[in-house]
Amino acid sequence: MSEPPYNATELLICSASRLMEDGTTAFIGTGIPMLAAAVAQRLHAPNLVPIFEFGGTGAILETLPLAVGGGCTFHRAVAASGIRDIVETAQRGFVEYGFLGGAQIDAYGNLNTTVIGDHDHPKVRLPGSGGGNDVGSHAWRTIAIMPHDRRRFVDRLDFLTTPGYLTGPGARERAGLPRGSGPYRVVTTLAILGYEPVSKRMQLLATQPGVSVDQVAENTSFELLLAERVTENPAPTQEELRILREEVDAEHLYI
Amino acid sequence: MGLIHVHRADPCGNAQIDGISGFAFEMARACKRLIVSAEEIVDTETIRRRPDRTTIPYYLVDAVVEAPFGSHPGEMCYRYVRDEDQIRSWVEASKEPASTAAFLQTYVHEVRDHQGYLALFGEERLQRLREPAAGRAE
Repeated sequence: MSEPPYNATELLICSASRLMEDGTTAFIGTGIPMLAAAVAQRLHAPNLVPIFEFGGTGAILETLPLAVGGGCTFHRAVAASGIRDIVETAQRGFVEYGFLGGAQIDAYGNLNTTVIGDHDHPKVRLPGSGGGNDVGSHAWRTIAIMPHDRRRFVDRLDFLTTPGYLTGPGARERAGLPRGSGPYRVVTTLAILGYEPVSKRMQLLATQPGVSVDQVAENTSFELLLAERVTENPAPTQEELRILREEVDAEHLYI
Repeated sequence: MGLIHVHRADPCGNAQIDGISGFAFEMARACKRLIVSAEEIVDTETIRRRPDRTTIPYYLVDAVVEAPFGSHPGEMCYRYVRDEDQIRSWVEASKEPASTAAFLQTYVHEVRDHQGYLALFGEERLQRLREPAAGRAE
């Protein structure tokens, strides 16, 4: 197979961007979600309202933000407040989508961004929750974006940072989290995944271009459910790639 | 002990932050001792003209320090942007213990004060950070 005309990061950004819905509020974490939001605002979602942890609400992403506290996160924004306001906004149910990364994810969409190995004697110390736990707890629909391999798609997290469906159906509600909220999609280098409505376990919805269903299963440590009809996610279009490379990240800081 | 850098403060400690405030409001109220550093020290009349911008009132503040470019190599919205070159050199230096120590020696331990720190970069470089960049909050 010949090399595709895009790299893995570009694939993640373009795939995530398509899930950003015009006219919705979306909590945007550092890195790939920022690029995806900037692409979405230029293409299909000019009225996307990005919400950043440090207080920026509704910025126009003309220049790429590099950190959740940077000036670009409230450039031409509708409001500039602070962390407490943003987290409360999520708690009150005003954040429709939350875009997160993670080092590990399990079948219920629980995320680890804290530590690899034993908590007190870690192999790798990761950045921690940041606003991740608040987003996973309170956004209506959480979308995780990550590379896909067996070390990341694990049966058991080394540490639970951000709740997905926890231990299964009803567990979020028992933990006091809002009914009807929770993980919605996982965008990976191999696939687009969702959650089976009854068991709340991750299921394969679409493979990335050139990837087989078997490959996705082989790179997942837990048993992967399949949607009734698994489709192929369309490759990044020339227009998406042009906007990403020439306008959003012209200095190629990420891609 | 809390350390918070703000856009302007008066000699009593009334401190104003422009743009987003992150967790400065809560942190100022949570710490037992608070030092505020400010891009500029202004008179109280300037604070009184825009009292809605006062994030931290004087009674929370134990000391006020004048420190232009006090957020360097970070940014201070509406005033200057991040010094990407300096952040990149820290990221490089922090990969090895020896280069980390050398970096800290140059930029932290060997500088006498904030003016000494800024002198390592020079007025010309700092001026470039002040120039507005497209798409950033002005």
